[in-house]
Amino acid sequence: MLANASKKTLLALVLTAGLLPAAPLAAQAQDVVIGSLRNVSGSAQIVRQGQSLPAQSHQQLMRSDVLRTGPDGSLGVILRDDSVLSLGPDSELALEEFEFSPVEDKLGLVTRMTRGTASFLTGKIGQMRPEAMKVETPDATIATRGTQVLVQVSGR
Amino acid sequence: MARRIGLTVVLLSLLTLVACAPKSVVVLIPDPDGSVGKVAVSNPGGSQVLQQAGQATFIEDSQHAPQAPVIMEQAEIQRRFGPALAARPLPPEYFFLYFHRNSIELLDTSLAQLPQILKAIKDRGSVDVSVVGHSDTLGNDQYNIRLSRQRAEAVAQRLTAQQVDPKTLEITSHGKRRLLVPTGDQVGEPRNRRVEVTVR
Repeated sequence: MLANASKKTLLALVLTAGLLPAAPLAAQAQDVVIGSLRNVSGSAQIVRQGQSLPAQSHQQLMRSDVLRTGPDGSLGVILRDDSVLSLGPDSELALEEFEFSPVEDKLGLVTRMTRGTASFLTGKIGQMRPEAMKVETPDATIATRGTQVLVQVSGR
Repeated sequence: MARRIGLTVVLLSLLTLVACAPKSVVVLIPDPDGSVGKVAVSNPGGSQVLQQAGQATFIEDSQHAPQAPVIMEQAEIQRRFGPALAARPLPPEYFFLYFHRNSIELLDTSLAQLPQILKAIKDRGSVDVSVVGHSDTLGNDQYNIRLSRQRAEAVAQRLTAQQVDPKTLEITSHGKRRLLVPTGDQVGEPRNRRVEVTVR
């Protein structure tokens, strides 16, 4: 009897939890311009909130965009903190986190690279707070200290 | 028989190669100004620090520490990263233009820098130029916001007069709130009477 009651309570709790608004997937707003594309050539796409858009030079980039290039594709990026990135062919890079508000002391640049080749040149975020800039790959985390770095991630 | 053994050896070495082929490579190269920074590569297996131009570390997977750094030859860097390197945008270029006291007239030395700004815009095909006005701390806040705004607009006008598209200019002003050289209030400081132009 008691066991039955607690089961009911549990069920009620589960149901209530289900009614609560779902936690946002990303803590940061996604409609923020964080930079723009340069030197786009060959096949290249921006994946924005699940939708794939053709990438074009001088197009604006939003937080959480994923950049993708095909076998003949390559592209360059200048972010709002003056960080400079580029991707070679068959590459994928997610712009996971971007915060550049020195006045509010909010600084962060985290990218996730899942395949291909890329270059990264530190901008103001990395200069102001080196530990705020990171590149994640499936095999390691890359932390730059004011510099230019090349990264290659092979398919698996 | 010998042939079969030979084939097995070849197959085995191929398998070994595939199994051990590192999955990620990280290479440190100099900044555009020639200086060389530092990069730390780490995973649950361990970490490595690169601090010499051309140093590279190979990483097998997340459970194996990044391997000891080796120098990657320029030809190998080009072979692996050629297209990514070619796609790099030019880094942004910064210009600081200075003004006469209490005026929107540029100093002659700053006026002489305008052709360089125009060249930077043209070389990049830039559509993203910020023009940000500043002042020293003489006078009140409101006065300086207006003065620094007029300074930024004066610079913008000189650029658009030379066929720069006004839509590509982002004009803002900070008055005396963002000093280049920190001073107290009501201090005339020539280096704070400026417009900062960033060409991206």
